[in-house]
Amino acid sequence: MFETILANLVFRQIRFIVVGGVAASVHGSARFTNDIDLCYDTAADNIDRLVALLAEWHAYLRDVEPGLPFILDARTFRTSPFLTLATSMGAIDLLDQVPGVGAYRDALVASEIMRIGSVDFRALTLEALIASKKASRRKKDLEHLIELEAILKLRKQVNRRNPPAS
Amino acid sequence: MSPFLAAELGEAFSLQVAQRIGMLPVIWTAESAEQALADYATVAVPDEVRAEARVRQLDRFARALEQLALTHGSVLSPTATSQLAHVSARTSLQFAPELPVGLIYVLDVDLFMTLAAFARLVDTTPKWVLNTLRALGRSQRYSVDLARQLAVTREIAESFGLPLSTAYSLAKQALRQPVVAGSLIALQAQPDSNVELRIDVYRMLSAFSVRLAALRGSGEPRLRGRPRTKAIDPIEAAEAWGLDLSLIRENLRKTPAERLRRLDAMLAFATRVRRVTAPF
Repeated sequence: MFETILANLVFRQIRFIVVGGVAASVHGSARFTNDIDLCYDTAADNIDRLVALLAEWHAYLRDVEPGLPFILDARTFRTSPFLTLATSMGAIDLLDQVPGVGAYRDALVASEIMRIGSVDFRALTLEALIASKKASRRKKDLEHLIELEAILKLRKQVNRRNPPAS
Repeated sequence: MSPFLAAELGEAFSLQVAQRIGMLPVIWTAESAEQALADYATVAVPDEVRAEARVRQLDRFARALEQLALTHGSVLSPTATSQLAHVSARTSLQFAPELPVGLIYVLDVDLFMTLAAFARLVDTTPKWVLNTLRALGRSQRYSVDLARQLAVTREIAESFGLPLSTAYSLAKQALRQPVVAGSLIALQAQPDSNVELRIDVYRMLSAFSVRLAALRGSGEPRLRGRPRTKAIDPIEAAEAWGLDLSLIRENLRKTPAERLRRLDAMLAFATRVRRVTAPF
């Protein structure tokens, strides 16, 4: 599901960065997550492409009663910093800012390229993920933060033993 | 989730297999039982542990719920309610994320809504909320319906430069009418006025729905106090917390693609388990 979502976003040339639980899983987290968190570029062309794709996926708000008024368009994106959506492809959270990191351009600097099959996408680095978890200060993130810090340490240990080829 | 009985499996039953993978239907019917068992340990067991925790605190929750029922129709104070129920205010709130969806939000958003959350829902500041409620002579019982009225009131007042009381009565009129996407609602600012205001209430309510979904999705309690400053070895901290580092070490041996595919498989498994175990 996540792989299909990412492949479609890349295919439609949507500029985004994977943040949150899926980014943590790609870095080695063993925690399970139901939704994919994406930080998107707020440029008009990017939002238009994102809106078109989400409309195809019948996106509607998550955690609200069915049938409430909801308009999925560029204006809604411009006025809503955080959208929690349920789509036919699964749950997607869209953010224009990542806590502790910043807007898309800042997140871009704090991201790295990941490859899944033939699809290249950007995910927040482990260090930036830790910074965002610390900044959000949610109770449910505490265990996640401990795990991410342990992954960082373990990864450093592995890299020391087997330095990556330059 | 109830396991199969040997009789239900009939000739397919095998004691050796049952001893190895158990008798849970989702494991028994999975393409790879070993993989499904690993997914079960990661996905479903924490859910079951949480469910167990809920049951163990049921007496406290029942007391809190009883007190909440008694405060119906009056100004709700989570602190006073919690004192009467002999539970801490935070204990009552801690039940919310663990309850089934229908109940979580009645408690979390409708009953326990704080001024800050209410102001976020109205898309304004807490000060504006307090001043407006005082000006309108409304009680300070924060509910989703009141937030919806105030959100529309605020938009009308700011868009047309109207006094709050006029905007509030127009908002009430607008919300009584059926709203359709793309159509404007026509309202008269004053009963004897020729001026007609056309308001896109559907758009206003759409923005409100987005904020409501965001509030419900991110209404987690925040950590209080200063952040930890003492340096602790992260691996020791993870072990002390009870994290299974062998799972992380195993993940680190995989490629990012393998990790993502594993997560996809767990999501598919979780969807299957939840479909099987859903109460309705």
